[in-house]
Amino acid sequence: MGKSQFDFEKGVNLALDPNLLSLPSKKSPSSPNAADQQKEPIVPPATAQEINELVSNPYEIYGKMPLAQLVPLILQQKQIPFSELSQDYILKETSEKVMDSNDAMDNEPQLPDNSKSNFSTMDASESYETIRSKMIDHINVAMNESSLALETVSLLLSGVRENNAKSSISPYLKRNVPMGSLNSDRIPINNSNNVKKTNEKIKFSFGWKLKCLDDSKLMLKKNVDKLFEIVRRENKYWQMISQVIVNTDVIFKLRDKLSGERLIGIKYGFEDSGSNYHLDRGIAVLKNNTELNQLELIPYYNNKNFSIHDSNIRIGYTFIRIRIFTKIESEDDFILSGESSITNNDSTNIRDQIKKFKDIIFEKELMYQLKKESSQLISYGVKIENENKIMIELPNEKIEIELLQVDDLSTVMNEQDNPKINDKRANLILITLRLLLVVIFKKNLRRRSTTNSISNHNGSYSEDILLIRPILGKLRHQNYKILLKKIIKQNILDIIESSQCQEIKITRKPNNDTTRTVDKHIDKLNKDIASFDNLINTPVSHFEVSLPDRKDSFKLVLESPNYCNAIISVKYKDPLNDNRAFDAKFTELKEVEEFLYFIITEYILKKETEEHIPIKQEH
Amino acid sequence: MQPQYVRERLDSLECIDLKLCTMLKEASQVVFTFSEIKKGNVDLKRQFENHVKGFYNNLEEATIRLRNEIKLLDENTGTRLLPISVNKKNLGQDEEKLAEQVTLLANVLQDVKNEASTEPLMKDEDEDVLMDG
Repeated sequence: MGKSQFDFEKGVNLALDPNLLSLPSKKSPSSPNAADQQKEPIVPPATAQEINELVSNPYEIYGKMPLAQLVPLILQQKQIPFSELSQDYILKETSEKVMDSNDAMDNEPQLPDNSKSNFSTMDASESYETIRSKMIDHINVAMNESSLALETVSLLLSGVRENNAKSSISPYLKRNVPMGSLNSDRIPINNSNNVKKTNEKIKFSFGWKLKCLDDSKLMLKKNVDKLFEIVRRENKYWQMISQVIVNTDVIFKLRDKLSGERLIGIKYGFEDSGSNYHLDRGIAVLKNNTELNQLELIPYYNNKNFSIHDSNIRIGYTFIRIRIFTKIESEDDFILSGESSITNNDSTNIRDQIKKFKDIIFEKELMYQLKKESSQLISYGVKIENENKIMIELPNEKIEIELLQVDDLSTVMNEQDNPKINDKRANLILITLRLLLVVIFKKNLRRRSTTNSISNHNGSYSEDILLIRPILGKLRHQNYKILLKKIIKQNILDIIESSQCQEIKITRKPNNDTTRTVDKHIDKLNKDIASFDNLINTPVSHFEVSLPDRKDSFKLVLESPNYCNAIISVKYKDPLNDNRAFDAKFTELKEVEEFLYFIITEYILKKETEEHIPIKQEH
Repeated sequence: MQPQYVRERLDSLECIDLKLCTMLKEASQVVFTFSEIKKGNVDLKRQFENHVKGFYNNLEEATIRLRNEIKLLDENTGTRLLPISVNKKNLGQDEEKLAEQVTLLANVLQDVKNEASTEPLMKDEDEDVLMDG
């Protein structure tokens, strides 16, 4: 009882739980936690407070509180909404409290707890104040410090970025301290431990360095071995190249399109020697076969997909073979009577291989040109049987020109076992064809060096291809000659006694276009070409039939202006009569025969019996 | 076959290549002995020295030889070598072929004469060619 009395006398009767004070004023007082907790304990102290109202001024406690905080506290204590808080209500309540105060004092056992809590609440309220003021102090100090720091930073900054510094520096400092007057530098902290640590580090990395050295030694060793190997290979390659290549060879740098490998190319085509053949440029690659350690010659084709590493490049044998078939009179069939020989030029020697490549490209071009020429000669029995075969048909024989492309020579060689009667002829024809192609080259060279324009040499000179025609012309001419001789014999020699037929050798004067040129090379070309004139010139035969008794004679000239045809001109002059002269040209032997028969019967035979007024006849 | 001079140059260039390779080999030995010495194998110091010497000797020799080759290259430009690169023409192959075929022809005709057989094909003209060719 006394205890409680003491409490009352103290007059410090806090009606509120101190926890409530921590509630933010803005928060609604009916926060569930707070309400539940305080429902019970609030009521008794409230009564106590009302009692103590008379003793102590509650304003001392709550007066400093702003009304915005106080009113929610009161409302919470009273458990009433703000609308019911009226003066009447408060008066009524205070009077009730006064009346109950005595009763309330009887409830002593309940009070000690409350009074104890009252103590703590009082302490809390005090400490709250002190904490608050302290906090405010701290905040002030912090603000001061931070603004000082800002000033320092700004001043530091003003040395390098004056404009940035100006935006944050205070006007006071700006006025009193010149800008950029503060500077700073970094000073390393000298730590004695560092040396020790570095030493440890060195020891640690020492092993690494040794390992690095060993590794680099191994790497160097490996690369040295590799380089030695490369040097050895290169040296071998160049030695072989220097052995194989002669100064007249045209070699140049190439690059393999697919692998990008650098290569040495060699030109073996005849392009620069007068050929117009563009189907094969005649370029080969000198490749170093590292496995066999020898040079390899591989034809190089300038197309996208070509690679020298293609394994399926096969260099077979390409050559022209001429076969002569002779007609068997009895059976109306042809048998093989002659075949050109085949030289086996197989060799692993690079020089021989280059030679072989040259031969191959030459034979290919020969065939190409032969086909071009043959296309115009179909009316003279020259037929292109297929891509690689040409057949020349003559009355008694056939000449077959064939380009053979085989991988293995032996099969072809075996066929030519026993020599045949026309083998030599076949060889001669083949050689002549080759010589004629060389003549074509020379003519091309002459044209190129004299006209200075290489642009117009494509194709349009197919009439210049003289390969088959000179040979075929000679053969046909020979046949014409035999026929003509036969006609002469039948029509003149057999009829007129002691008449003679003589073939007159005409030495043709050399072509007059060999005008001296300034260039000795062109002179040489002219001379070279001229040496083939006998072969190339169109065949002409002159015959003279003399009639000894009468002193008159026939002159017959057989010409083949396009090599294959025959034009026969017949001249007859009567020595006794100047008016009686004939000069006629025929293209058919039959007509010649008729004409001769006519002259003989009309003039020569008749003249012996009677005089006759001749009629000049011209064809 | 290239002339002696060209082959000499090729050999000399190979020698330079080899020198440079040997130099690299010496370098690897230098690194090796150095690492051994660092491991505590002090006896190898002499070898280390020798290898370093070898390295420099090789370098020197390669340099001298290369300079010499360059000098020779300069000297030969205009005599053996053309100062510009030209597109070399593959001339003379026609002559080559002509000579070859004429030889063949001579052989065939020789055979013909030896056999004394008369060939029906008139090849008299070719003999003229033979004279001229």
